[in-house]
Amino acid sequence: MSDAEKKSPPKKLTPTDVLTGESPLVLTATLEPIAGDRFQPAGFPEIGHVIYKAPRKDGSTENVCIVDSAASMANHLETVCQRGAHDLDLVDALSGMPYIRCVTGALENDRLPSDKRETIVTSLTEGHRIASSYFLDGAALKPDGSKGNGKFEADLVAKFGIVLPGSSKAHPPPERWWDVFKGIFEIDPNSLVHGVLFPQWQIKIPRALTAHLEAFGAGRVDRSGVKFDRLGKTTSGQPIFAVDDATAESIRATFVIDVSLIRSFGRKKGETTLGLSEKQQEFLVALALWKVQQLLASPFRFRSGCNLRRTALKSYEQDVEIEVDIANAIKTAGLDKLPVTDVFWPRDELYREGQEAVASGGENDDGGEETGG
Amino acid sequence: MKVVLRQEFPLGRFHATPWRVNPYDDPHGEWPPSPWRLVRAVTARWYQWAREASPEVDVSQLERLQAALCRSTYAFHLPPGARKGSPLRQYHPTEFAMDPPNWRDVGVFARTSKVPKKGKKGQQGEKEVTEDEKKIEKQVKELKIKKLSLDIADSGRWTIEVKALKQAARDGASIERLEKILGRPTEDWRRIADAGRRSYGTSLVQDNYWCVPPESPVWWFIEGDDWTDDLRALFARCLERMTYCGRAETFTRIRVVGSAEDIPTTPNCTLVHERTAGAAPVLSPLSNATRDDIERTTDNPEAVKRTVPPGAQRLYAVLPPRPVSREHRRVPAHQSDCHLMQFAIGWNVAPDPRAIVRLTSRFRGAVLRELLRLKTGDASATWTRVGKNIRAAVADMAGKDANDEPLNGHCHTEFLAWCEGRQPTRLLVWRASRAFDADEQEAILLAAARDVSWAAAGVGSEEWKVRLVPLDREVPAPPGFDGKSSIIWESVTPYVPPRHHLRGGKEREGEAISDQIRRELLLRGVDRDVDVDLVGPPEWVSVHVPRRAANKRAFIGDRRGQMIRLRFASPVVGPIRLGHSSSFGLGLFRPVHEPDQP
Repeated sequence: MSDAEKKSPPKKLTPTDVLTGESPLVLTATLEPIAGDRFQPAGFPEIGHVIYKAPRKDGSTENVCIVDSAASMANHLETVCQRGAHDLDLVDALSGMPYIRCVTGALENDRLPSDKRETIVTSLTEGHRIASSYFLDGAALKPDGSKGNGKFEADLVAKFGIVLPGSSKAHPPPERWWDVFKGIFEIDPNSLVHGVLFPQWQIKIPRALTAHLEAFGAGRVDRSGVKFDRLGKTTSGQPIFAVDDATAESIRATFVIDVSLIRSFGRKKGETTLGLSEKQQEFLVALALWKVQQLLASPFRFRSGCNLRRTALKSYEQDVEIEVDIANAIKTAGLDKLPVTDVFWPRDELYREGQEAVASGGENDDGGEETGG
Repeated sequence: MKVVLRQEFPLGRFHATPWRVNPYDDPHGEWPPSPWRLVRAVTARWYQWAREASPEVDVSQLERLQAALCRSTYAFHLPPGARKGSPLRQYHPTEFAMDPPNWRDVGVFARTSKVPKKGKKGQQGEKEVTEDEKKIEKQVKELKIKKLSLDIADSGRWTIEVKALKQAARDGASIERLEKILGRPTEDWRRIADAGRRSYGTSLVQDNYWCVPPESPVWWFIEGDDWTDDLRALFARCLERMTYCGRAETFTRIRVVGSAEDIPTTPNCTLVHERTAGAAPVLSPLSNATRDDIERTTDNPEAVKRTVPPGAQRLYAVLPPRPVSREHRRVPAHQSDCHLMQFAIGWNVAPDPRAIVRLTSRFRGAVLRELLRLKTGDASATWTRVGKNIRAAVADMAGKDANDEPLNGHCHTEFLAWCEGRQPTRLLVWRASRAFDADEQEAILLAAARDVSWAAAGVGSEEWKVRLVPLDREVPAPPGFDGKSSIIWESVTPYVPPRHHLRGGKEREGEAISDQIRRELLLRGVDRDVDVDLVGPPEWVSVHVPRRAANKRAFIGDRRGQMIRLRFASPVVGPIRLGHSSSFGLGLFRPVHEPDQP
């Protein structure tokens, strides 16, 4: 019997076990390019790829390449929830999970019918998630398609009940937080997984799931090429371009799930549940695990020249396998009964059409940013 | 009482921006992690713990913990190898607003129609402006207005746009100059704004970080009179919930350690009040800091313009000296049965075909240096300094045995250049007799990591360098190296006869180029029944000269080379390289397939 055959089967990771287990849960996935041995790491503005000399205990250094930043990995983990880059609907597995959409369209009798709603962004595509101005500054649509009174921000203020007038303390009292967690969970649970910041209310919820992607023993491979400009749009007709790739001895994705943070989103107090129930916390863990599973299930294209596939998944040196039934987790958390929140913006407040005026010599306004169409 | 913390950074990085420091101007980065950051992080995690705790806890517990932390002194034992990393830069969203519009002035001028260019019989020619219009167009373009675009339609309509950026910022001078040439537009100038959308603006921020060996912890030595066992336990509960320290990129594990653990006996970094050379500023809590001070947000009016927030003080950390480090030896995956390694040649200035030998011989020298370094572990090892056993180990690469005598039988490594259109495009490292081993492959790759100059020594050699980009093993070998046979072979690089074939301008008997080629083919065990044709005139090329004589020659080529075409009686397998400096890229041939060839 070979060593591989003697190996014990991978440990199954379920949301229940993770929620009651050690915090944080650290998952380490080994990845490799699907073809060849080169890959394209993230290019940071003005500095390109970052390969730094990482010190090691024995006094040596090793070249480490940051293939993706934590923020970029969060974006990747959110894209697995959508049907595609330009199809902002949720994948079937997440059917029923609430989230927020910023929509526009022509109102009919002061109502925006469901089939006339044009989605601009969602809380899964927006960097600030639920705290984005696309949502806070818009008006939430009621189930009948009519606009609510005031901005969605006011709805949240009422739901959270956390506004502390004049306060600039970073840590509001604990008892105020239960409504915040519950409120966010019911509207956009994804924000609790990836963290959210409402600076105006001093609400800062750190990431419960953080991912990192690094390559070890990295080397830079630069190459160049020529584009043939058949349309004659360039001076030379043959613009030269440069491409930086990297090679590495190993590529490793690290996923850190801050289980203790999720556990702190709710607890029992006698018969009452403060904040999130255990099943709701379990859903957050399930969603985090499901995202990791989806990212690693098949080769994932982190960017055009960076298509990586998983070769191993470990937690603290032990082979593991994620076992999560996300559809069931949505139901048991009671999320399937909650609606998708649509926040309405009039089209002319979102888009400015090209504007034309007869020039009169320069004594007009200064062309400020708010120019209505 | 002393509390000792062990903090690890499992991902090897500590990302943090010190309070109110512009990261672009920060020479230090935050290192060591500041006690002020610890106090605030512990406070945040106390609130987290308080939400979980049952029975409910009182905030006075937190205040006691904060007081103990603020009244303590801090010292560290830092991993000596820690170093500042290459900063990252990222765009962060800023204001949410409509895109500011780009304005432009547009004028339409009705001028003469374009005239059709004469086409072939029965075909409509393209349209072009008249000679007069061409003159006007030239005048307009000569105004050199930077933000101007001109479009002339087939109908003769001229549309001119002058970018204005802002609605009020009309470029009156440019408009006036245009009107002097073109007159007034048919209607007035129109001011047009681009379409836009409401979205977040962006700001480029810098993220500085320190690199720390993941296995080497940071030890915190916290000493104060307020610590009790209860407070210590509470402190531990907060710390075990601390997953990040600083930015979200900083995954950390931190815990209170017991006295039984292997703790460094003395700190190697203390915080002092006086700044000394090389000391890094670190924020530390004041002993009288209040809960309000600690929990204050960065945009609080009391703190917003202060480089040191209320409740904190700036101390200075004298960091331990960093030992000299060596790069971790990267052992690339060894390709078995590797007889050929290929590199694309990249350049700013294309290497002169005459200088091929200079390029290949310099690369050979770099490979030898790397190989000697790998074999000896000594960065300064050279052929003359190493012992005979090392020389023997690298003989196949050097082409010389341990006694400095040339190897026989063409069993050594050859450094060749492949050309496309007479331009060197690939550098080839080839050895038929034996596959390259792991050390040799690594040495070749290491040598290729540095630019190689093809200029003559001492003449602006810095300016004439090429980059060598390793090609994937999937890239096929060039023709002639693929084991296929051919009857006809043509020069890729000039052939230089090993012996002078002319004397007084006349052919030496028995030393004609064809004679020398046939002799060499016989020596190499190749069919000598061959027709030799000279292609084109001879050309000067640089040949390999011994190192001690390399500086004596100017850039001009040393010997005359000749492009050759060989036609064998029967198919011959390559690679074929003949003549002087044939191990350095000259005299390389490629197979040619002609229609009448079998």
